[in-house]
Amino acid sequence: MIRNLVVVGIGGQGVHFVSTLLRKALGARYGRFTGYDERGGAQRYGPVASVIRFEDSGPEKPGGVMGIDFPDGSADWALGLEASELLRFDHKFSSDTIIVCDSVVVPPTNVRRVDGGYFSADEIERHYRALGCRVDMRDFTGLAERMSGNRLNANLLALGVLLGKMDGALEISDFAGLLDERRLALIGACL
Amino acid sequence: MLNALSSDFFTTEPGSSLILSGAAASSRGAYEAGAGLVVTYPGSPVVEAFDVLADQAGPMAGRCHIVVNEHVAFHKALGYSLAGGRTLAIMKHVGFNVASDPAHYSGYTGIVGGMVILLGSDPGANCSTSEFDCRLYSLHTHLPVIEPGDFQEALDMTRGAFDLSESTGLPIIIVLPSRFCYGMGTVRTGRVKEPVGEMSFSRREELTNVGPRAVARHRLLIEKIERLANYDGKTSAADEINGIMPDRRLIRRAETLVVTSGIYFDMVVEALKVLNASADAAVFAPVLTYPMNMTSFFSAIEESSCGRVVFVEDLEGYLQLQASSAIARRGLSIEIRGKDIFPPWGALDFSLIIRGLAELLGRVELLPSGLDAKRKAVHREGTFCPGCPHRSFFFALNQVLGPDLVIGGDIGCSSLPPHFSDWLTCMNSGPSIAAGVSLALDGKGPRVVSCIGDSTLFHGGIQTIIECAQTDSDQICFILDNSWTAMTGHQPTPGTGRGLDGRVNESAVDIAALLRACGVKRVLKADPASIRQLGAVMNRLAGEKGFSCVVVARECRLQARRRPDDNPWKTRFAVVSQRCRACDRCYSVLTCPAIFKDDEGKPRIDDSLCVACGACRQVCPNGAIVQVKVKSREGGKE
Repeated sequence: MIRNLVVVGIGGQGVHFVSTLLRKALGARYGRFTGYDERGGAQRYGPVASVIRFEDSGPEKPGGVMGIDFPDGSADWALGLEASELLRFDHKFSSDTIIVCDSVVVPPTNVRRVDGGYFSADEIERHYRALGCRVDMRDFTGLAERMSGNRLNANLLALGVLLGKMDGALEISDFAGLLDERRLALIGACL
Repeated sequence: MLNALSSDFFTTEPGSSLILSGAAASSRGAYEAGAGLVVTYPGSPVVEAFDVLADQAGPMAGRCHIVVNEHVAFHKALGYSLAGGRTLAIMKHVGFNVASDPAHYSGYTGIVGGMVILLGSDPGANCSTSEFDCRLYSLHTHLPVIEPGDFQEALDMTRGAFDLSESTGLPIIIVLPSRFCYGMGTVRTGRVKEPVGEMSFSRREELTNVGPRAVARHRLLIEKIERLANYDGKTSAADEINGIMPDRRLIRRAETLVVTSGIYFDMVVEALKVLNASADAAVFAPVLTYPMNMTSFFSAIEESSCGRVVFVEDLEGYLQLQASSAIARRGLSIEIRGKDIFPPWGALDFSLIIRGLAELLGRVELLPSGLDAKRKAVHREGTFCPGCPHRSFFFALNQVLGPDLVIGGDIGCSSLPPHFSDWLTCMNSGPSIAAGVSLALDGKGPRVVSCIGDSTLFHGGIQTIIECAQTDSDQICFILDNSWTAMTGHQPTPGTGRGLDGRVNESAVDIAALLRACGVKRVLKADPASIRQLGAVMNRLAGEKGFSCVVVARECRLQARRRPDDNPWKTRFAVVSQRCRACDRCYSVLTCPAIFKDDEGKPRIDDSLCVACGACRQVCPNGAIVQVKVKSREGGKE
């Protein structure tokens, strides 16, 4: 069965880091995966996204054609390293989509300049709950700072929560050769 | 079954599995093909294709050259090829605009060693100032184009393109869209060929293109293309063209034949499946999209017995143009659809493809749908990094010279939003367009200034500087020198003072001296770390007539921070809330990403993002941002 995962955030947050980790783990476990990236905003506080597609039937049962993009409403999971960036992918989500996201919301500078209002984390969480999605929104950034003294580790904590909701499609053991013990422990902390 | 994953991009073991981006998969193909020279001018989305090959610990380090611009890069690659070596030239679609002059001639001169040009296109303009359809160049350069459909094809087809180049005597263009360039997938490696050892250059008449010789070469080029367009693979061994890859075909008897290419083939097939319409359409995707193989195309039409052909492609409709012309020449009566359904602008994604096909095939009721989003995402512009010297520069420019300026903008980091400039188009647009504007205003309108980055200055700006100096263009040109081609990941420029290998470049160019050598009479320097100093320089030049240049020099903060720092004392900035009047100058005007608002709506500094440039302290009118020294726990760089 083809599974679809979306990772979103803003440039500088580590979308590339997390999605590369996921792809390495998927490559080792299933062999075949595909997808695309939008990295125009990388390092520039703009939108960044990774789309990852894989078949959880594994390489023994190679499936059919799997393009780099996927049908609307077919995302199985979404990982939001910045909550409001998820809204760009609503057309890909359905009420079955599992959403894990950091409650951090970063207003764009174009909003800051005009003193415009922006979404709050609560609003975004309510939006997805109202649409029937399963949402796990936490302050991973604050948690990472308290646990490790480094806010950037929020990505690993969020990844751990996502793994816990992937029904075994990926597990922490798939990351064993990819990260040191300290980082593996951070993934495991919220699993 | 996939072999164990390898992390060694340069593995010489055939059959190894690697996880690579689309751009890097293409690079691996060039490595396997024995490319002896790789040239580039850095440009997104294909910059990674160069970076992986140029890895200083890898076997190709010395064979990878960053060249001053794409025109020179193309020529350098062509020269290497003419001496017998295989070469890869990497550039983005707009870079090919710059290289188009030599590209036109390369079809006439031909090549000797295989020459492949890797072009990153950018439908949707996600990482570029435009989304031109670079494939259209082939209609007049007559350079063949290959569009891989997945990661393995990116590797295999790039490797095969070198063979095709040598068997046709033409440079071959590989086109990869930006979303695919950055995406990742698994590939299986092939055998690595050693680069050609000793090379030699022999004089050939065809390299001099004038008069009747040029006409004869033009004719020969057209004949080569016609042979490729009509190649049926059944010719004798002597006529065989090496490196021709089979087109992708899902041919069945159906009313509709969908013609597509590259990454869109899989999306079309999957969309038909979702629409339960796989039996209702045949699909044909040429690998060589210029010249489109008409033997293969017409056999797809005949085998499917279709009554209409639908072209699914991004941007301008380049397959549709070639095929429509061929259909007309053949006198076929067949319905042609494509650009009336799929727009010639923007990125073509799965949603657009399936919606177009659903409407065409009468399957709209089977369209999948996502959430009915009531909350729409707000556009998020990019911005300068914390500590970026350009942020301070533009702040000073707006504060000191005022809002009535005419500001010419140019490519690079300085072009990032909020786009302080009045225009932003191609490389060297800043001072060049400003030269025309200032001439027209004749000193009677607002002051004209222009900006250009250091890398862009070397790329093509220096000709404008000469022009402006010689004509005493009435403008102040700010050279925003951050020492690197920072926008694409910090590649060195001729002014960096270091090479790709980190060694000191004894031939580094002194920008101020270069400007003076071009005839610029007033060359000043300013450090953007001091907004006051910048302001003083701007004020001094504000009343001066004629051409002035200011070298605004400060290394990109991201790069500066990468170097070891043994100073145990670190500088931090903090907002003293008792002094803060919430004027928002730091938050809304300077808009540094390291400044955020706390629960009470007051600005705070995020230490994990702040790089201690001090710009916020300089702009605060209330003295509420203060500098503090702290001793780091590790006694050195954190």
